[in-house]
Amino acid sequence: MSHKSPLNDDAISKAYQQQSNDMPSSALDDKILAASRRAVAAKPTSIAPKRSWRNMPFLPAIAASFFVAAVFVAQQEEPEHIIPQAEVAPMSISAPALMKSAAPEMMAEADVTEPLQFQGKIEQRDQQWWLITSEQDVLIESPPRNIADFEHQQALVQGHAGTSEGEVISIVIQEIKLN
Amino acid sequence: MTKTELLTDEQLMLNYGKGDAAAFEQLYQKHKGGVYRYFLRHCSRADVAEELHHDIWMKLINARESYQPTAKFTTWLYTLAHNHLVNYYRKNSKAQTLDFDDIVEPEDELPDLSEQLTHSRQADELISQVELLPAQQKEVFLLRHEAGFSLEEIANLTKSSFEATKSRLRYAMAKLKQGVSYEP
Repeated sequence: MSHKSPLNDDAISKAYQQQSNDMPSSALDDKILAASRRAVAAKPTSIAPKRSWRNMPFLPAIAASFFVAAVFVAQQEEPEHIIPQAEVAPMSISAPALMKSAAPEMMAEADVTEPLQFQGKIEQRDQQWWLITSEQDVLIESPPRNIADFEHQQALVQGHAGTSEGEVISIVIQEIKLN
Repeated sequence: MTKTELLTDEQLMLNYGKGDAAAFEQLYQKHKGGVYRYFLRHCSRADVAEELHHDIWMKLINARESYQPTAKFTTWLYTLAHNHLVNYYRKNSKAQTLDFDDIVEPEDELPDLSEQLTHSRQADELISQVELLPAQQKEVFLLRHEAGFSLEEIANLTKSSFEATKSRLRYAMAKLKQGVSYEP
């Protein structure tokens, strides 16, 4: 004769856990574990913590600093902003040479050179004074007040010549005297 | 005792994601029984349980690199298992058996005697009774006794209310007490 008594919750739980011991087959275990090993063997990765932007919040700040510095340097190195040291050094080059270096396109038509001496006849044409040499006619720029005293006469002139394509086309007289 | 034996499940999974195959083996040995029995009690068929068990662990292997320990590892594992089981039932036209809404179940939902006897021939009396519980009650019972979750964790995992979860466990225990008795 059997006497059946009700079980309480704890007894049910305990009984279930004692009786419930089913396990997957060892073949299935092997299959799953083999797959797990294959997965990591196919793409090995480091055990060390993976570096990411989240772990290194300072890196974006460093990158931004480099970017700003690079932009600054690039701006400093733009050709139009470069001033050669030789040209800013005082007394290292003559004024005409500096002008020629700074604006060669302007100096092409009217070059400025060291004072030169010319010999020729002083003439006036169309309100402009000219020095007529044996080779060419040279325009006298900013003629001196007494230029009229030398009109139609041979004179010895010293001044800065303006050239174009190697030829003297004008002169700024520093000194003039009869030849 | 090796260093890895001291690690939590979450750390083991992270290590596996970084290529440590031994970490996975530890996790598998620790949880394979619970997961397998979770499926076996629901399906009552070893071949189906093995298939589902295999699927879940493969999902876990494939998710190794994206795993983030935002919750307990076991919560993640059994959430995967729960969802996979729901999908399995849907595919097999049994969606209603694992529809985890909060419908109150009738108290007198015991399996019929012939079904009970058939199962009892194949397994112990208590195991058979568990397998014959209504799906929702069985789910709560198994998550409680195979995975060791609290009622609150089970409620979260199954997306049910705490009260409904508590009721299901109470119904399950009541039915098991009715179906199982011992001889002193």
